[in-house]
Amino acid sequence: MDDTSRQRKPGETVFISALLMLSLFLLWTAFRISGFKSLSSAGAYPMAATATMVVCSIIILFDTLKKPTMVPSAGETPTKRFVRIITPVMVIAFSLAIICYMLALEPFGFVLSSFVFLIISMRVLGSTNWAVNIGASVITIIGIYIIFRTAFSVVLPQGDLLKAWLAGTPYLRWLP
Amino acid sequence: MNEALGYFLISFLDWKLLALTAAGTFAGIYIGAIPGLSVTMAVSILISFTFKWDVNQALALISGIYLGGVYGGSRSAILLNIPGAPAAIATALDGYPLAKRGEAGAAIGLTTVVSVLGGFIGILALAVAAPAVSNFALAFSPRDYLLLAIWGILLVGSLSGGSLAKGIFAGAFGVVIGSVGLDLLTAEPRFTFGSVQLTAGISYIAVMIGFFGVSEVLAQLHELHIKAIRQNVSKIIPSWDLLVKYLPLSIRTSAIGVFIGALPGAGGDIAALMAYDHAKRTVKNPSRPFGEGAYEGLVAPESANNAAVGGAYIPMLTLGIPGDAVTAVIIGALYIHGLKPGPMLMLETPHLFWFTVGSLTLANIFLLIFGLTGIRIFAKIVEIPKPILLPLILILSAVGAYSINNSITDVYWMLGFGIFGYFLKMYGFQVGPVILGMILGPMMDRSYRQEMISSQDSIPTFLTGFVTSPLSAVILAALIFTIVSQTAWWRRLRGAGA
Repeated sequence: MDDTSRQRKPGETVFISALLMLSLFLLWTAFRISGFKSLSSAGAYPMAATATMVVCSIIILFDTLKKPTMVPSAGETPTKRFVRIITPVMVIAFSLAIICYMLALEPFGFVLSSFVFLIISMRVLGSTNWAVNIGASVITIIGIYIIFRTAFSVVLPQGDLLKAWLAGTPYLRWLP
Repeated sequence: MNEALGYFLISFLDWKLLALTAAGTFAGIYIGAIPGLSVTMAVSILISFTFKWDVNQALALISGIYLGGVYGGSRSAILLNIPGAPAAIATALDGYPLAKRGEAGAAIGLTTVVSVLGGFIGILALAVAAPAVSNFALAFSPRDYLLLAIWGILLVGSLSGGSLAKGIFAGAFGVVIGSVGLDLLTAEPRFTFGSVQLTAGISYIAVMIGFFGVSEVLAQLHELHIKAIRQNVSKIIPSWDLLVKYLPLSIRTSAIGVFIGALPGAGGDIAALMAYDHAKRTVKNPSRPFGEGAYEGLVAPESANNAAVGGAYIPMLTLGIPGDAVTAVIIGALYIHGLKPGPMLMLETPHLFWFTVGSLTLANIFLLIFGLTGIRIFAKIVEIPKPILLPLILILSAVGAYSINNSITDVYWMLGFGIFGYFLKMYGFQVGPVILGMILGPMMDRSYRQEMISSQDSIPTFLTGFVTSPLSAVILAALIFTIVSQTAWWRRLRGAGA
């Protein structure tokens, strides 16, 4: 990671401004709990916490604006700079893969969705040896499944959609 | 006394606890050593799996992981020049130059022995000091707890290197997350936005895994290209002369570790850096210049960071205030098992305290055994490529979040906080104070309202208590000093004085 703590990173002002907006919204929400009814009311303490957030985010915003901006590379647009430093393509791709994986957990079950996620993400992150990727994925999934079902008594998602689909397929009825 | 000894020996005599402590220490060494895996991350994920266990089993495993993890960071610092944990940053300064000279085995051996020595000194301090601190803490008023909690959050925010405003923001944000749900006194909904699901609050384990697991995995993607250069390992057991030579330094820096570890908010990383600085200033004729493979540069930080573990348990068990991010997570584990860390814990469940001391001692013995063996296999395992390691951590995080309530909602919370945590990290925020704020938030809320009610909602009466009570005044002074010491004015003043 670039050492840019003394320089304003791409998107930093927008992020801190968003935090200020969030803090103001939360302060308003805290105020609506019980207003200024009493200093020991249910809303007093959340108001103190959110007011602290507002004050801090204003200070942070001023500090951020005082920092010099990073010198852009030749011909680099702000968006490209943001992607290069804050959210490289790998981070975006992996985040999307995580979101897809988590959305797939319930309909397709832990075993299938984890296997697909592991294989794809290992490849995307640069592990080109398919045998290693498949081996590591299979061992991990079997290990997690056995340990968690027996030692930790965790019932991992079975895959509602997959089970329904398999139940409707005569040749695969014997599967769990 | 006999009872205390009996509780102390439980984990030595029960084969299951013995095995769990051994497994925890072994796993901790590897988790601490693998760059990208942190002890906080491991404990956060593990807690979600162990909350159905007996509390002793969970504590035995966690004690092992904590001690093993703090030590394990040194292995990759010496062998790969990549500190496995923040507490091993100082170790890499002299450890890697030693490895390059072909002395990796001697460096690891010496590190192991002084880590174990530091660990024992920390545990001894815990056993001696905690009962006394606990008795003293019985006199604490809700106001003192409120001040201590705020001070703890401030210290984590300020000492961990970022700006104080960012640290306070993160702590306050954690407090807000901890307030989500129904108010404990009046059952009024707070930050629920009309959602029935939110009335039960947000699982702080999901938040922890998000902040320490998912966001860390995303941050590690920036460093995918870094290749580790491994060194050869030979002659691991250090000579007796070498040990005797460095014993005084090890004891001195262990004392520093205990003290720093016992401060709310300051953990092994700060202890190690301060011990390294102490060694640089006090050792007149090091074996080699510092930074070029001085054995003193290994002994000091490694003694201190393991001694800090025992130190960090003191405020955690006696006051309910975490010493660092890992103990914040362990406090979460104790709450899950229905225990409330604080002075009453020592009075009501002394067996738990002596059991913890026993488990840490046992883990320290296992540390010596595992630390001096299997280093060649170890060197291969810590080199697991990140493209394989990171997706595996992600899967474990998802399973950990899911297993809290067997609910996919917690997985979504984990993901949301993970992505948010990633951006916080990218823009220089520490996530430790968020977790501290979440865990200490309910206690602060209760303490604040108890104090305000007893002051009959009068601000002057409420504020007067902070200066008329000597204890409150001392904590308040420490708190104000923490804030002032972070200002530009203080830095200018110190600069002028230097």
